Amino acid sequence: MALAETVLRKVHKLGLIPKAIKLLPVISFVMAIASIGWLLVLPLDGQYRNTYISENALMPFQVNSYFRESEWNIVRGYREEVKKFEYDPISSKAEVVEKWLNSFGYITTYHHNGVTNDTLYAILHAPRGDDTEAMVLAVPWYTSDKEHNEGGIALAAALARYFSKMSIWSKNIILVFPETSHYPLRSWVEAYHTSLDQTAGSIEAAIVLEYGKNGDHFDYYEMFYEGLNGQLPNLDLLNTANMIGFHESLPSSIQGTPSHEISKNTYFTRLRTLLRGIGSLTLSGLSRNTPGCEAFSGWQIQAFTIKAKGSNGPADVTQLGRVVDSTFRSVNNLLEKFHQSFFFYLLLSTRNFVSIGTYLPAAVLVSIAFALSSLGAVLNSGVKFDEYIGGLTTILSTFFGIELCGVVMAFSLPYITINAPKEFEDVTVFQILCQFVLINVAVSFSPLFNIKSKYKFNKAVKYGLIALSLFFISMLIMTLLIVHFALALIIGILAVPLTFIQPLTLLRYVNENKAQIKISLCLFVSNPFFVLFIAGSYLDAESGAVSLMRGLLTSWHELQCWTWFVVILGWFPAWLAIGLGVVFGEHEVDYSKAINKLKSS
Amino acid sequence: MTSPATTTDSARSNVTFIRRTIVAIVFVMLVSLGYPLVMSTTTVYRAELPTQEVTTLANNFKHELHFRIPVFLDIPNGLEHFISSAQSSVDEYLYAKHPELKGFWGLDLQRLQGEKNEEEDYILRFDIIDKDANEDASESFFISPFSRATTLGLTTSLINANKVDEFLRIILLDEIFGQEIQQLSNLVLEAPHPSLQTDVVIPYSPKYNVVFTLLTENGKTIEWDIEKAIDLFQPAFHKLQHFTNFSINTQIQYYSKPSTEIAFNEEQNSYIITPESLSTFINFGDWNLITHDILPTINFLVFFPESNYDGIKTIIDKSSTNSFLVPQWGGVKILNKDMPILKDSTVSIHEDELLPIMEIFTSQLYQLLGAPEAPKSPNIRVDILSRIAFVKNIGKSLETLKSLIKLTESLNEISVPETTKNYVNLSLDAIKKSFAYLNNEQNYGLAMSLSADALKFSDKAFFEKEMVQQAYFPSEHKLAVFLPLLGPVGSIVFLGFLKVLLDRRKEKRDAVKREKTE
Amino acid sequence: MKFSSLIVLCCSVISLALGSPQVVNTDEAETVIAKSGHTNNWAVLVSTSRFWFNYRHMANVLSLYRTVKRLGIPDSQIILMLSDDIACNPRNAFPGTVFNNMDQAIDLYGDLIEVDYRGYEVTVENFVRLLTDRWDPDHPRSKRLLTDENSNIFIYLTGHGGNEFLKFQDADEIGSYDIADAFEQMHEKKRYNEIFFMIDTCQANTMYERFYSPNILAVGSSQIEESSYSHHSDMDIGVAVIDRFTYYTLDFLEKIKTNSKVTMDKLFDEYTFENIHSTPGIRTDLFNREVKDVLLTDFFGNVQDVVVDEVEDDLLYISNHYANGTQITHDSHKTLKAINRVAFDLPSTEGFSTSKQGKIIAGVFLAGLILLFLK
Repeated sequence: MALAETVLRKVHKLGLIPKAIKLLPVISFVMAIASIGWLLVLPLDGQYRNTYISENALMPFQVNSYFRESEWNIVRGYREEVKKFEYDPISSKAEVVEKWLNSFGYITTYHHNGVTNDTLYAILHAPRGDDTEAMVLAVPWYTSDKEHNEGGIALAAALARYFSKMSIWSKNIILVFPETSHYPLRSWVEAYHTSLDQTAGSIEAAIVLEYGKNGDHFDYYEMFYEGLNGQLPNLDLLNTANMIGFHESLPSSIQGTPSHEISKNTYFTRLRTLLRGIGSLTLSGLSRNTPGCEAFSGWQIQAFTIKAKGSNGPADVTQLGRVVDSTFRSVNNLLEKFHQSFFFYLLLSTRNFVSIGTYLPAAVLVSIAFALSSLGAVLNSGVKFDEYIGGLTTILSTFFGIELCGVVMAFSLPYITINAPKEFEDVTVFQILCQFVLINVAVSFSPLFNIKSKYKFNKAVKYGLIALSLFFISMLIMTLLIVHFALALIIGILAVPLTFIQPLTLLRYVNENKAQIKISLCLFVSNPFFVLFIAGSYLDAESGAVSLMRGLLTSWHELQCWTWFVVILGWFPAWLAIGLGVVFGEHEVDYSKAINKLKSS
Repeated sequence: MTSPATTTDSARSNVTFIRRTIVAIVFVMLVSLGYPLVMSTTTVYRAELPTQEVTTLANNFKHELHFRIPVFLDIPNGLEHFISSAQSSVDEYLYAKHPELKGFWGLDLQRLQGEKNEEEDYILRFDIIDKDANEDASESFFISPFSRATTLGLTTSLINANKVDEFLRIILLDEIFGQEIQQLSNLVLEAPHPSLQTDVVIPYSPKYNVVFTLLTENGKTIEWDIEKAIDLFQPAFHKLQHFTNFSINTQIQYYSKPSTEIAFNEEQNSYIITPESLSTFINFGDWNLITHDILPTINFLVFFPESNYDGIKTIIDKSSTNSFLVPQWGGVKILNKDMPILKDSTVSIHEDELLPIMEIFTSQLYQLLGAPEAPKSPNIRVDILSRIAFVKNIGKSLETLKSLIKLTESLNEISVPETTKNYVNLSLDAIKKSFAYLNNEQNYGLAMSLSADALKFSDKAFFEKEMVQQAYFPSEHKLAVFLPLLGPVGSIVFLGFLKVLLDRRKEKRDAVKREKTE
Repeated sequence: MKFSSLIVLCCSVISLALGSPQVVNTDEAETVIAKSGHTNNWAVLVSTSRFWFNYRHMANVLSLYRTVKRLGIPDSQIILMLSDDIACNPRNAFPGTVFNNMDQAIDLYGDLIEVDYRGYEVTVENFVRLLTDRWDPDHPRSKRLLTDENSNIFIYLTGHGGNEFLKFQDADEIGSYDIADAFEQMHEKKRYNEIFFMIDTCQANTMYERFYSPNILAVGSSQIEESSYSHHSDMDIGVAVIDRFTYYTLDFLEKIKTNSKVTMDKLFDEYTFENIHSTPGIRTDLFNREVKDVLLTDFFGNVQDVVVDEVEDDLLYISNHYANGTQITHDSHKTLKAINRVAFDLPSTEGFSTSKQGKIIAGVFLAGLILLFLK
């Protein structure tokens, strides 16, 4: 009691509270910097952990795989066949493959998704298993690079033959041949759990296999593992595959870092992998050229994509087959679902990771930054408390109105896109994107021109809107934090310029134009569609931001990815509310007070 | 306190009163209902066992048993006085040598009157040997191996020397009941048994399985007249009926090789089984000798070696009967055919071949059951065996009951169900009844069967199924079941109680204050 | 040729150096061996863990089953508790087999395996019941430990354990006190002559430290805070096939024959940290004999003392003849007096005890009522 009181008195005496309030924008900014700093610390030695297998039952690389040289010829044979019909329609290709699978004793069926070609899938019922669980090997006809998945199909056929000769399966094996790993695979997974007649029990794990025209040899394999909406496969599964690859002495890579880079395992390779990991997790589901593992998200299926890279290297095609085989053998050893190990993690290399407890504070810090700056906006704007009460209705109704617009857009825009004729899809998306960019430009830069508007917000409403929006973003990050860390963090960091606006409005009284330009720039760069435009152009040089925008608009419909809703109902309304506050906000202030304040600081 | 506050004051005291009543009610309920409830559901049921009775009985039962074995002397009229002098001579000598048997075991010499069956009763007859007729004649005795009768041959010189009672005493105490006295004395003194003897004896059971097995080393057909041989055996079993019962099975097993290979000895032109390899002769792994019956099994194996087909003998080294005994398990006889076996003929073992084997098995059966070695008469031996087994059974039952009580005292977690208690009582009941039959009627058969019952009941009490359940159910688990309830309830009650206490204290302080101000 | 023989020579020298057991001179052994005083041998072999990846536990226990059977303990005197059926697990690449070595030389599941308790029957309750022999009256004989004061019992446990507990079936666990108390009950009822207790789990030695009954010799594979390790994996079956402690035990026992005079201390010499990779424990303070005087076959085998030639003549003859020499016929003895039996009113076992669970449920229910009343 006494101690707390002395401390409180001391605090009061020194006037720490007003000082702290004045410093809130600085503190908030420090928090945002700290958040990035936190991320930078993670790849340092001692901050991350080495991967390990925590499920005893998996026992990776404890069994010999006999998918060796003798099978190589078989792979070659199938590849020759696959090569021959590369340019045939998928339906006729599927027929050939179906015949092969039938001859091994697989039960084959097609799934009609009504949009793309039918998806062939085949089931090998475990001869001695209890027929309640399954593992999936998905082999798209075209890889994520839009290459003909020649090696993949041939390898899958050879593996199918090899699997059918073994008696050790306790889980059924399903082979799926979708046209691509995007919508066709996703709709198959959905249909498998809802409408398909031919099923083989709950799917425990899935591997998507991509092996383009690499021939017999490849340099290294790359693994993709990001699921939709921040979901990740159980780390045990990845570790299992990685350990098997390691024991096969196969070079491997993740997050687009080539294997020779990643094997260096320096601070910078780890940082790069970490940041790319966050990036790809944020964007997962938004591209049509997906690796395919995210198609299994949401059904408690642990999945990853394995893709052969290069065509000269030390590794041969059977080694990749052995990775698939041994991983299946490990999963086969499981008795139930993956339940040990981590579901939330960030990989730094194939053998290092940070778990949720370690990386979570980064997003928490950003969230706090926004909360503090929201508080600062309320307390530092010189508006009295009563005035806020008076403006509350306007603030809330304005914000509500903006949200309502958001909701309308959230549903109407994807609807328009999806129902647009196929050939006009790109144009439609482009137009929508343009609209948003226009809005951005208009809102961001209109204050520069000092347009007289009939309608004006008073100061209370202006700062109230800014504070509410900042608080809204803070809450958004908090909610997303655990389920979709990457998205929360990225939104948080990209929206940080919004926190500068309120302090800048105070600065405006010193040097109006300069400050106004700064405000406009802050608004402009933190607009979600500006970010999307930049990112999209960077990621896809060909079709520019359109493809990312299209991904955003259609991903819910096609994959049940809710990133679009987060953007249009979370980030964009907050941005718009701040923008409108700036545009329509009253400028008249008590100059002297503001100047004094600045001088004293 | 100011006067306008009186209304609120009274309301408040009202509230206080209600609160106190509630706390009181809850408290009373907790103590009167909750506590017994928790106790009754968490405590293990432990029936009260008759500890005192068992301990006293276990310590003293030898003083409560009184064997008075009637022996009938066939004495001509006019010599009745001889009986009392013989009795005193017997008692004097016996209790001088074995004071521990005083009151516990004794002979009751009576004059043979009326019809007594020598199959049933101990009868002593006297035969006067005419010295004149035979110069070298000396006193003699003959214990009939077929009955319980004994004939003493007395010379006139013996009679004249007045040494008949001494002679009688020696015959009775040394020759007829010698083994019984020795064994009972050991039992009473709790002397350690000569280890080999007890190791051979199979633990007592009121019924045994007896399995006669013929084992051959190959698959050639073989026959044996075991049915007839068993008929010969039946009277032997029947003689034991006061002691125990038997259920008999026979089987032939082919392709039964012993676990150690038998070495051929050139010198003797036969296969010799050394004493060392005998201990592993029986092939428990391959020979199907398992009976799935709960009764203990006595096995009698006739092993028919393959060497018989070559006319070569298989001989157990240093054994004249070519047989051996496996302690607590049974007997084995290696059978060698006297005549060479003709090719392609079915081997059959005839009754007359089996007869000597059955003789061996009878002897082994007696050894396995722990019958005394003397006298020869099976009747007397079984009597002795029954009496000793009776004492042993009583001792064992009481020991089991004692162990049970000791266990229940040392293991606090173990439950003692009512069934256990009932079986303990039944066992004690049987023991007491058997005492009565022994002491009042000298009815050894009934006492024996009651002692077997007592043993059975004491085992049932000890092995009661329910006594396991709580043994591995730790008390933390019990607490864990109740903790979710005890926590909230306890805290509410505690806080209420605290509040009442504080109120009371405040009230008192107020009262003191008021007093002061007044 | 010369070269290869040289290699053989080298190998044998190495194997000697690695501490292959010195077979004891028979004469020498016989002079030192104290008699155990038992007449029959029993073995209780228990694996407690389920699931395919615990293959080695089943292999451990089946290996010992095979060994004690080979050394002469009859199946009726071996209680085998096998917690999972790995031989028929779909993951088994060699259906119907269990191997304890990657050379796959011996199929432990070969023929004549008599499993007394399988799968979910392997519970703590059944194990305690087995030791204390408390069963329903109709429990089959083959599933009971019908030992007496002349029985030597070898008890082997393997599974996943911890400090003073051993997990059964991933569900329940037995504590060291439970086993100690069960042994005490066996001792009180004179149900054993000597017990040899062997346990191969993590922190195994903690399991026997609570024993307090006499004549128990105990060994464990690892001390407190130590794991026990598997020996090697079979890369075709894809699992570890045997644990180190058991591997070295078997490795030694394989050289033992039924009539061997090798003593227990020679086996214990195998238990080195180099072999086991953990600290094996041996407890002898409860045991009355010197370990160097104990024959391995006192526990692992069924070597019986036999009595040769103490046969009495004519017993059968006098039993079935009258004094006058006529044979007692099959019918004549029926006329003999039958014994009267005294009847007892047996208690019915039902209705004596209300079930514990019922009581607890009632208690919780009533306490809940009280709680409601309070609120």
